[in-house]
Amino acid sequence: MVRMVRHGREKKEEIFEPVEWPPRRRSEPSPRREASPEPRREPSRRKREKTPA
Amino acid sequence: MTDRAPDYIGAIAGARAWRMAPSLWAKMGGLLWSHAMLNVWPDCEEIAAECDAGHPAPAEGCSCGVYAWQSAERLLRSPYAPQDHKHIAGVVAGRGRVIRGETGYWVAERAVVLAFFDDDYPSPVKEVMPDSGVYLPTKEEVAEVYRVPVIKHSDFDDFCDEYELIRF
Repeated sequence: MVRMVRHGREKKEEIFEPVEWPPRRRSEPSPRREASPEPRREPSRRKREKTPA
Repeated sequence: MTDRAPDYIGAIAGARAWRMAPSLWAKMGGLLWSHAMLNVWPDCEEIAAECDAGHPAPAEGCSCGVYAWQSAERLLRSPYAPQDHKHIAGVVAGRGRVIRGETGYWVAERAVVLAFFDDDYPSPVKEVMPDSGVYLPTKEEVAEVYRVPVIKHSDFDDFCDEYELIRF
């Protein structure tokens, strides 16, 4: 990979594990929930039953 | 990646410079190259270090890994700071295994580009060959392709804080 002469003392290996990757701007809104692909249902209408007169 | 418990919950902040692709052939591989043109960064993607020796990168006693300076200031003080229009510098975030050097650099397993620095060396618009209609990358084009902001060196700390990167 990237080659470079390392000089001086180095710390022991550390692990950096971000919760989010790639990092996102703090003020950036979290991804919007996608709208449900199902079409919105119309409220069901009750069938009027004929009542005996 | 590793099974070890993380030492830090977050990515490490860094600043580094690249050589912009100087030929059509290089541009086809990627816009950003290491200074020595030995390694290319895949456009807009995370770069993951590998070692020819077969061990996980980075490792003690080996030069493998993805390199960056711990701050814009360290980068500017280094011999790697852009001195012409052929080089570009920016902000990177590193994750995974990281080895920090006491002289202000770090070497990571993985990294991504988050921003580029504005500098005093604007890129000329230059064709790869006369009348070819194919142009060498400019700094503006690189920022557009990566879809990242262009910031001042002095904004490094604020930018990293905004992205919740760990600064040293």
